[in-house]
Amino acid sequence: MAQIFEYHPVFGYRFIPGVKARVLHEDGGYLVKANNVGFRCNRDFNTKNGTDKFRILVFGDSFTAGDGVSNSFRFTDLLEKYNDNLEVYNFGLPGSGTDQQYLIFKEYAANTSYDLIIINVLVENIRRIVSHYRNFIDGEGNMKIFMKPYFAIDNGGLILKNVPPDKEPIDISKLDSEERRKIDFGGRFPQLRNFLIKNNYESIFHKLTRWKPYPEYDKENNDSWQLMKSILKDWVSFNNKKIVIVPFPHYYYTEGLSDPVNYLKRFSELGKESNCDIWNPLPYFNELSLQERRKFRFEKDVHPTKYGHEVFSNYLRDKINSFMNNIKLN
Amino acid sequence: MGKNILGISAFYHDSAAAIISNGEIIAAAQEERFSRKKHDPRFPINAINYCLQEAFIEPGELDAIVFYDNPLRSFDRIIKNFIMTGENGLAQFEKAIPSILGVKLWIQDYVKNSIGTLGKIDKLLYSEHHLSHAASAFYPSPFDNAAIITIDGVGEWSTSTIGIGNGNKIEMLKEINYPHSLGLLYSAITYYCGFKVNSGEYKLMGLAPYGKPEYFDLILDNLIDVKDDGSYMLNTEYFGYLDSLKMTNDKFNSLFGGNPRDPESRITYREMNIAASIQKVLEYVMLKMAKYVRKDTGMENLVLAGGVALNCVSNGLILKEKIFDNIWIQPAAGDAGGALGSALAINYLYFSQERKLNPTGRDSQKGSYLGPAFSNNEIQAFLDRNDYPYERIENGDTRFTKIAEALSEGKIVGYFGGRMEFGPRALGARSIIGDPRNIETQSKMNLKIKYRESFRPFAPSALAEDVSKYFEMDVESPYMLLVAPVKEERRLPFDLGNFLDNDDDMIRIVNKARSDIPAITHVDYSARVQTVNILDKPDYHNIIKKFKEITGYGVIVNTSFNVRGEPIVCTPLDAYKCFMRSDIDILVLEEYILHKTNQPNYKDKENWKEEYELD
Repeated sequence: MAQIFEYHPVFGYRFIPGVKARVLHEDGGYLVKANNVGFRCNRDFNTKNGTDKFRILVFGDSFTAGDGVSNSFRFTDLLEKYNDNLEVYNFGLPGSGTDQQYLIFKEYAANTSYDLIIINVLVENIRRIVSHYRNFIDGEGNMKIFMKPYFAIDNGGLILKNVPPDKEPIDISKLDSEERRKIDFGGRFPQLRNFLIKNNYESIFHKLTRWKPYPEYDKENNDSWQLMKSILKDWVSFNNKKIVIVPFPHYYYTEGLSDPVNYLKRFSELGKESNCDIWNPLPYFNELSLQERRKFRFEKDVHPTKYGHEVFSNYLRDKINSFMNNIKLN
Repeated sequence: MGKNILGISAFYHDSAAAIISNGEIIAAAQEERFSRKKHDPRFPINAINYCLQEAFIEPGELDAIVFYDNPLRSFDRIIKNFIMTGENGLAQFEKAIPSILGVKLWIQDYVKNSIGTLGKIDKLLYSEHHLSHAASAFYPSPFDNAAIITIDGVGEWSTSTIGIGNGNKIEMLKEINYPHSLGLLYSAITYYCGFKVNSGEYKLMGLAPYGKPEYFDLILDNLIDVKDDGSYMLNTEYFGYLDSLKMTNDKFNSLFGGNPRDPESRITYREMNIAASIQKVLEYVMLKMAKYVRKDTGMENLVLAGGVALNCVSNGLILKEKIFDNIWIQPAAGDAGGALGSALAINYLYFSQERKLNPTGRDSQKGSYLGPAFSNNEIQAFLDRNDYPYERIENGDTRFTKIAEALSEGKIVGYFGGRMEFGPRALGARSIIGDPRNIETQSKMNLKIKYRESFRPFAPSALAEDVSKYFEMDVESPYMLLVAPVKEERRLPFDLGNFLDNDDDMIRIVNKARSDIPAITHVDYSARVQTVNILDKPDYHNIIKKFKEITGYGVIVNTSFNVRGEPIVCTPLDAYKCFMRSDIDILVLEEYILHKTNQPNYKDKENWKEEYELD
C-alpha cells in the first residue's frame, strides 16, 4: 500500500499534502484526497470566510476522516451536498486522540473564521489520550511504534508532552514497563479482539460477557476521564457558544451490546460544567431497527459505511438547522 | 456521452488493468509492479485499484468492465486438443483445465467481489483475445486506417490474425489457429535454449546476433511450412505442448542433436546458433506476412501487437524493407496490453463511440507513461519517515545538469521520474541510466547492477532530433520496439567470428568496443533504439540534452530499473531497495537525489535474490 501519511512535528502525522489514493478495503476500496495542508478534504482551507456560507469545522479521528468510504460519501461532504449554504472543513485524522485533534485545532484552525465547531469524540478516544506511543504498519507490513503527543495534568492545568515527537520509530526494548503500558495497540486485548473479529464471534462475546468496553467512563474521578474532560474544557473555552461536542458511540452501543449510560452521563456533566452543547446521536440512531443499525459498519471493519455516514449526516443536519435558527432568533 | 471502461487481463501471464474515459487512455498498469511477482498472472486487484485511483472514480461510475478474452472459446480449444491427443494429452489437459474451470469461468465473481459492481450495465463483457490485441494496436495509433497484424503464442484458438482498422471499426480478416503458432515455435526454442517460456524470448533475441543461422534450413525443412503469403503450419510431431507439459519432445531434441540446455549452465555456440536461426525464421515469416498484408489490404499503415510484436529486430526489418509507409506497435504488445485493447474495443465496437485522433498527429498512448506517479510531497514523506539522506534540487535545469555530469563521470544512475511505464520496457520513468561511451558500462550494469547474463545488450535512449546521427534510422521509436544499425562511421572494426573461433566466453566479446558508443552497440552493430521526444518526456529529454552539452553525445544507456527477475520498480520504496541492493551510484526520485555513499547501512532480507526467479 502506498504511503499516505507523513510526519508532523506537532500532532505526530498527517495526510501527505495533495495526496490522492485509493485504499483497498473489504468493501472494495475508497478514494482519498488530501488538501494542501494535509487534511482529507476536497478543498483547501481559507482562514477568512469570504462567502455568506455557514462554515463548520469538524474534528475527530478516522470516523470523521472517513476510513472505509470515499471523501464524497462522508457525513461532512453529505452535509455540504444537501445544503448549499454550508461549508464544512473536515480536520479528521485517522488514529488520533482528542489530544491530537485539539493540537490540530490550535495549529490550523484557531485563526480560521468559523460559525460552528463540531468535536466528534469517538468514545474510544478516551483510551488514546492516555497513550504515549502508537503502532503503525509500514509499507512492507511491518509494525513500528512511534511517539505520540499527549497531555498530562499538572497542577490542574494541561502540560503538553512528546512534542515534537521523534521522527524515527522507538525501540520498545528501551522503554520501562510503565511506559510500555502506554503503547496504544488500538484497544484492550488486541489478540483476543482480532480472534473474535476474524471468526465473527465479537457480538456473541460482548453479549455473553455484558462487555464494558470503556470502564474509564464509569466514575467521574477516573484519571482518563479527568484528562479527557480537561482537554475538552480547554478547547471549548475558546468559544463555548460555537463549539459543540458529539460523543460518537462505538457499535457496542448502537447495536445494544453494551450499556451507554456511563459515557452519556460523563459527557452530560461536561456540557453543564463547560456550558457547551452536547449532541448525542444515540437516540436518533436507536430509532432505526437493529438490522438497520448493523449496516452502520462494515462486516469486519467497525468504521461507518456510506449508510452510517448518511444517517449521521441526517442527524447533524437537523441539529445544525436548529443551531442556525437559534442564531437568527438571537 | 463518453464512457468509463475498465479492461482486465488475467489468469494466463502478465495480468493488467486499464481504464479509459471518453476514449482517452487514463491509466494502465501490470499487476506485477504492485505485487512484486514478475509476470504475475493473478487477478489484478492492485492494478484495478490503481486505475480507479488515477481516474478518481467510483466503481459504480464505470459504464462497463471487460475481460480481454473469451474463456469459453479457450475451454473449447482445450477440450478439442484433449480429444485430438487422447490419453497422451492428459497431463496437459489436467494442467490447463483448472485455470479455465477454476478461475476463468468465474471472472465475473472475481470482479464483483473485488470492486463490488459489474458497472452500469451490470454484466461483465468479454472481448476476444486477438481482437483485444488488434484494438490495442489500432486505436491508440496515429492512423485513421491501418492494416493490423497480431501474433502471439495462442489466444482462444487464434495464434496469428490479420485485420484492418478504419475509423472506429476493426474488421478481422484471417487467422491461423492453434496448434500452428509462430509464437509457440519461438517459445519452444526459448525453452530448448534454457530460458523461461513467456519471458525468456527476449533473451533469445538478444543472444541471436552472437550466432550463425546454421539451423535455418533445418527448421524450415522440419518444423514449419511457410507459404508465400506468410501463413504457416507447424509439424506438430516435434512439439510437446499439445500432449505434455514440455514445449518440445524427444523428436525435437534429436533434430537439434541433444537435450535442452540446463537453465543455469553456460551458454554455448549451439544455443547462439539456434537463437540466430529461429530469429531468422521469425523474420522470414514476418516479412512474408507483412508483404502479403500490404498487398491484400492496400493499406499504407501497419499496426502490430501480440507477444511476437515485441521482437524489435523483426519490427526493425519490416521498417527497413519499407513494406508499409508507417508502422506503429503497441508498447504493451503482450497479454497485459489486452486489458487496454479490450477496453478500447468495447468503447468503439460495443458503445460505437466516435474515435478522435490525437490532433498533434502523434499517437494517443501518451508515451506509455500510464502508471502511477509520486509527488515530491510523497517522496519527501517517504525519505523523512525512513531518515534517508537526500539532496533536494527543485530547479530542473540544475538537477538535470547534475545528473548528466554524474553520467559523464561514469556513474550509474537510478532514475525515477513521472508516471511509470505500461509495458515491458523502461522508457525513462523507471530506468537505470549510464554513459554509452564507457566500454565497461555494459558488463558493469549486467553483472553488478542487474545480476544477469553478461551477453544481454543495453538499449540507447537518444534525443529524437539526433537519432539519425547515431543510428541508421529516420523515424521515431519512442517505445524501444525498433532495432536499427549503429551508423557506419561510428563503428569500430570487430570480427565476431574471430572471438567465437577461440572460445565462447561472451564477457570478452561484450567488453570489446564495437563503436564509439560501445555500451549500446550489440555484436552485430545493432541497437534497440528509444527516441526521446520532448513532448513525451521533457525531464528525460532534458537529462540527455544536458549530457550532450557536456559530452557531445545526445544518447545515453537505458535499462529497466530492476534487478534480475524483479519486476520494474513502481514506488519510491521499490526504487530505494533496488538502489541499495545493487551498485547503482545515485538514485534520483523526482527532485530528490540520493548518493549511495551517504546512505545508512541497509538491512535487507538475506535471501532477497531468491524472491526473484531467473527468466
